[in-house]
Amino acid sequence: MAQGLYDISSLEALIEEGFILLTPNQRLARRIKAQWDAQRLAAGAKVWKPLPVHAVEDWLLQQWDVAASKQLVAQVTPLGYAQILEVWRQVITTHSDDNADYHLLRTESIAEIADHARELLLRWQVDTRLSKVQQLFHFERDCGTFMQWLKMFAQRLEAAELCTPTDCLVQLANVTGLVPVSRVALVEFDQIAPLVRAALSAVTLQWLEVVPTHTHGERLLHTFSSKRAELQALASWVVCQHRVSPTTTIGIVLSNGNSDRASLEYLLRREFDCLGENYNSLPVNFSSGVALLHVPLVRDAFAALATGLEEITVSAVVHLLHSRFLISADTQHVVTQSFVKALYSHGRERLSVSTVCDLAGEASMRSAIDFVLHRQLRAMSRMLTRRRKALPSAWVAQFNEILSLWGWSGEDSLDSLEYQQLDLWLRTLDEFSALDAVCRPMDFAQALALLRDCCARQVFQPQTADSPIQVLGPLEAAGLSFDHLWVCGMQATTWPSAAQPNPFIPVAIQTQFAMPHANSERELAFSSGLIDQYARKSGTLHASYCRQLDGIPELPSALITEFKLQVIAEPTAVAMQWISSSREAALVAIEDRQAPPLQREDGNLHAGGSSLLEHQSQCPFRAFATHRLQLSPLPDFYTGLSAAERGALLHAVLAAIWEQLGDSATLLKLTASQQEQAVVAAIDFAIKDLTTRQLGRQGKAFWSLEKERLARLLHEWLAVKRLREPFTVIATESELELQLATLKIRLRADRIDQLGDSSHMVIDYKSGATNIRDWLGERPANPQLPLYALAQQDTVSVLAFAQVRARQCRYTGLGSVVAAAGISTEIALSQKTGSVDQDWKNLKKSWRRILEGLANEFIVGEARVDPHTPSVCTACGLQALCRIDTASINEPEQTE
Amino acid sequence: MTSIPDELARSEAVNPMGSFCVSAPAGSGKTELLIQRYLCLLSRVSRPEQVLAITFTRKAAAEMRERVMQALNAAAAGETCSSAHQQVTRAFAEKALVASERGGWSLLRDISRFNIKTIDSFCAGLTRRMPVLSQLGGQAEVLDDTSALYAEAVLELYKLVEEEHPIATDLAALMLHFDNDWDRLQQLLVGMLARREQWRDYVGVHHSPRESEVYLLTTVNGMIRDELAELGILLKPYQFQLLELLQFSASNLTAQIPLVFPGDAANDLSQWYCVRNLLLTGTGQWRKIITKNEGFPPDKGKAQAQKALWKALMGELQKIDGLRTRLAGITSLPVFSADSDSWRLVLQLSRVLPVLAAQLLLVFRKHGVVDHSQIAQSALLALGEDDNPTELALRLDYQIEHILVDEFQDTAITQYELLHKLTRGWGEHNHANSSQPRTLMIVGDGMQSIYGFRGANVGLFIKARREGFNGVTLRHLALQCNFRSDAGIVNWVNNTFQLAFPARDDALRSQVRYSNAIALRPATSADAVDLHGFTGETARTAEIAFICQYIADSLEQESSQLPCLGAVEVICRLLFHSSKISVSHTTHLNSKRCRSRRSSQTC
Repeated sequence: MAQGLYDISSLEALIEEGFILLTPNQRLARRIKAQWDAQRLAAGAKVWKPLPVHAVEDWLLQQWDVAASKQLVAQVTPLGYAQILEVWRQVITTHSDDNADYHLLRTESIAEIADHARELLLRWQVDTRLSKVQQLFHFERDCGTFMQWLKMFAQRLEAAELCTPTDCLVQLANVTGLVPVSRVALVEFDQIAPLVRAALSAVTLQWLEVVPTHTHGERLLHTFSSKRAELQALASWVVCQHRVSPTTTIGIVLSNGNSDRASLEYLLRREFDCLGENYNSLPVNFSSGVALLHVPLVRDAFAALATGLEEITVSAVVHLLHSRFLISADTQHVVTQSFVKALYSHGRERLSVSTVCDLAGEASMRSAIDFVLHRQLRAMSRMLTRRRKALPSAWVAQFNEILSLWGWSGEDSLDSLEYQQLDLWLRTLDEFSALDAVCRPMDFAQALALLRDCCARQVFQPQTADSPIQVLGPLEAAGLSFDHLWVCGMQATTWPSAAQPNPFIPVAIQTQFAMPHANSERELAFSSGLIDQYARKSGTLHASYCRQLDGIPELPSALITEFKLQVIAEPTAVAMQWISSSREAALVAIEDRQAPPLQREDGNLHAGGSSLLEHQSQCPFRAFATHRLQLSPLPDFYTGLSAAERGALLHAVLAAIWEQLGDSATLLKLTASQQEQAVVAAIDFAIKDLTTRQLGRQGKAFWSLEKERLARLLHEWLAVKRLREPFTVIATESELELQLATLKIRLRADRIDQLGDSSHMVIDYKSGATNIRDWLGERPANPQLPLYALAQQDTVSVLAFAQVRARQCRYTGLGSVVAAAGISTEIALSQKTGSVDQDWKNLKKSWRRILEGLANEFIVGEARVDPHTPSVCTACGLQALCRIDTASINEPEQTE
Repeated sequence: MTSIPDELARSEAVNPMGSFCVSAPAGSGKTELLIQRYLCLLSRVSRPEQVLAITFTRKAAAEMRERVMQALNAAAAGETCSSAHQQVTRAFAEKALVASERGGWSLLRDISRFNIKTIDSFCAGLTRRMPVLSQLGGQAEVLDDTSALYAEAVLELYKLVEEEHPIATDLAALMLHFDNDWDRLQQLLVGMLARREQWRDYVGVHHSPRESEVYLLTTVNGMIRDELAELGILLKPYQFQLLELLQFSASNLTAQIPLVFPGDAANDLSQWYCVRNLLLTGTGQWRKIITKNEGFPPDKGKAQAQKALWKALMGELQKIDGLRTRLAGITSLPVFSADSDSWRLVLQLSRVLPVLAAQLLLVFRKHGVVDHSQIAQSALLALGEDDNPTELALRLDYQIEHILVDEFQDTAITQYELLHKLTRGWGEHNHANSSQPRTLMIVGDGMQSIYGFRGANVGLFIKARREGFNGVTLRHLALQCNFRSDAGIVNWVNNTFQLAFPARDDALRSQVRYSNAIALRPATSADAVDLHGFTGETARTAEIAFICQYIADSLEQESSQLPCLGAVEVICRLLFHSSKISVSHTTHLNSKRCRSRRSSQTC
């Protein structure tokens, strides 16, 4: 028969004598009470008096209430922790604002350290009024500053007739006139602070410490190569023990708090097969909780509340569409998709909520569906007055209104854990409202941030059915009995941990009063005491450590050198059952690089832009994914204008200026000031053409800089232009069609000039670097202009890139006429070696052969993943689909 | 065991009375040396924390702690020693155990008492102890990668261009300089934030544009002065001959004739160009002939004599190590006239950057996280400017008496400053307590500096060696023996790397010369090193294929004949390589003995 989690036999005599039992924490008190109740029940009792067992401080505060009701102590109101921290925060901010010589980066968490320092001083009864003590404090800048904060803190509390719970204990220790009646016994205490001792002496007839019983069991040591192996072995071992004897009690201590909790929980679930349908039947109780802020229910509440702020991130918006606790959860795929695309295309990672609302509205219009998100955001904007200042309790009302607007906490019924979370959320809101007592009115953003702080501090501990397997923190395990207690992570670096004296109390004082964590000696004594306590209380005490952590070698704690080494086989990296099921699978390799051929519908030709052949040439899969599956990657965020926007603007400006000028003769006749005017007019014209949203995304300064940049660039470009042979612009942004095989290709030329010999020069503007090699070879990277040459076989004599780029304006091109510097007529020279094209005519012939070949490839459905050069992949963005990176890793497995 | 060539240096390095700068090339057994000295110092302090050992990586710290603990455990258990150097370690470990016993340190039970840390964790510890002095306040999470926060700070900065902020004009000018491409400018500024400890001191925070301009000019001129002064020293013996040649040349070129040899002022730079032109060609090579273009007409008489003088002088000058490169380099020294574009850009940046840094602090505050650089900066702030180190001892509860720093060549400027602050008053202390001196030992190998991207600066290693810290001078000890590789490899490396390094140490340029290693293990084969080069577009894949084939062949050979090959290790420069190799090597062979790993070190 396995023993219970607490052996109360040693306490029976005390209970008989009428002692009240006091424990260091509530957990142990509950445990003892449960054990007592179970024992009574087993003894056949129907009714019995509740066992008087309490956490020591709870009991003392009850005594303070009694004393207060008898008016034996000062009439003050004790504050909750959130309120106390708020007072500290105000004190510290006020003080640092008044003192120009320091300015703290983090005032939030410093409040906790300051409060802890005050607690230590009160509990260890350090009289800070003594000049000797004051001197020590003022010797050090940090401690001296804290002393000033401490004074201000006390003044604030006094002025408002408030106090902290520890102040209550101080009052209790000094109470007079109270007639003590109770006798109390302290159970499982490692240390008792002097203040607690004094308070106990003041309010009890007698108090004593129960001397711990000694039942030294076996002590075993296990060692593993990695943290993962350690947790995995532990999980397997637990399941094994549990299966053999389901009543065996097992305690698991995680040394480093919460960081291993998630991994261990996952592994336990996997071993117990509780990942899927059995999710809620894991026979393990976790004492360590998670911050309320991070549980999905509350996280999503904050996502909804954040729509009340002025700005929001794209990922937060997308989150609204994913949450199952919100009404905005995506059920309207068509409009959602269109909205998300527009959201990303806006280009900003952080944008105003009103812009999001507009984008949602547009998506709604486009798909003619009433988009829920849009409705919600509109309702929000009507409802909220952000700048209003109010006290926390008033904001709670508003928060609740917002949450109900968003349908939080969901239409689906919550499971039992989520109900517990909801309950804790409501209590946290109460705590937040209670901040009224110490806060000044604040605006929406401040209130939300404060609530967030409260939720970050609030720990959610799920209350599950009692279980024989418990996962605990090092201190929580102290005092409990288990058949097996397994302490994980017994690294030399964590046991004992390094000293962590409070930075606001001189170390000399902390050492003198033997305060917790004051120095290494204290930590070592504390840790070995804890290990001893574990050993006394457990049937078998297991300790484990891993020899490497994050690639860094680790030693075992010296506190476990006397443990007997027991070898547990290292678990395999992958769960056995997965390996076996993977072996059972019969794998078939299917090579799929062929899409169905294009079908002619009603004899119509298939149409596409020049990018279709460009993609087919660069990588057939890209053409298939882009032009047949109609897929495109979500664009990246950017800060100013995107490359595409810059390009489009430049094109528009250039088109506008040639609308004005018309030919080279006009250009040459322009005076400097006329050119200036023409340039300004063209730029103004192009910018006016932008959408209001495009314009609104940037401020005035940006646009005036942009105008200046374009003007400089344009003048630079016109200077290049002035050097050209005579020409007349006959078309800008002109469209044209070309049939290749059964494909109808739509072409768009940036500009066409008529030259002196009345032949045509086709110009493509580029703001980046250009290279005519992009037109050549069997797989040309940029076939747009060659396509144009084919479409107008007879008239086109020159193809040219116009590189309009600051400090690098020039033409590059090929043709049969030297129309400008940078145009080459030496066709053979410009080819890669091995080419046969000696002249312009033959080059055009080759282009027809190559481009028709590509068109045919597309038509028959050639879709292999085959980037012509690595740079193709850089610009593509469809890697998630073609899996080019993973493909090369998977290859060897297929050949095996 | 026979004595080894650098034994004297090794025994000196553990002398607890002295402070040293040890140059220790790869494979020279410096870790053992550090451990010996660490153990030795433990027996001379009243608390173990008083000996501070700083390593560069967390891994190195853990390894050092582990080896110290092993040495102590071995001593406590009375295990036998197998070698002479183990015997040395043992003797120190035994003494340390006695001290532990005497002081009640429980060293064998409490590894946290070893004050062996990375510079980052030491700084973090300091700021935790001094939240107000460091101005950090409460605990902030330290992130390794904060580039997203840098980017956010830049966006905050950008907002200022739309406001009436004092730097709005400068910012706008910068933007225009980058063709109003805010993303590109953002990348640049993010890079600047990541390296802010490197420019902070040069830029400073100034209240007026004029003030910052003067400050910058002083900095730049200081740099020019240092460079010219070095040149002046090299050329001092020849300056009169040179001056004569300069005057002769100037008279023929009808230029202004110099009256004195150029000094180290920035104004003298144009004169130095003449010197350069006299001795070097435009591309910076030694001049072989001198013509009328340089002011030496093909006449007889005086001209001929001057040419002869020139020729003789050239013969002498070419023998001076490093003169040519230094002289060639003067044309790259910055020359600023008030209206040049580049100077304006520098000024604009110098005004914008402090504001950007301030924005970063606001972003850090908002998110409650910081980067390592901020922690280091806060630690420096906490240590204060004054020369009163008492408070630190109070805060830490112990006085740091001895410091050991490993991998000093990878030290960045902030770390150097930190050491300066930690050793304040040590010179005076040692003067007054000559029997109990505080000591400092820095160990490093300039030739191995690999952390340039984190702001490591080999120049600091050379500077520390030359100047010491606060009156504590460091004696230079050079380890030369290599215990790791056999003579074949060591000699190949000696011969090869000799060519790649400059001839002289140069703190200003962060360059060190190569020093030869002496192999203790004899050569096992004639060709210890095979070099395979790959070129062209397919080089990468060809290289991978070759390596895989090579490993496969070697293993096959091994299985057919003894002796055994041992382990195979492939070190890659890029992650790309290592993934491809591990992928392909499973196709070629199925051996667990092959490990591939990534490294930026080559030897």
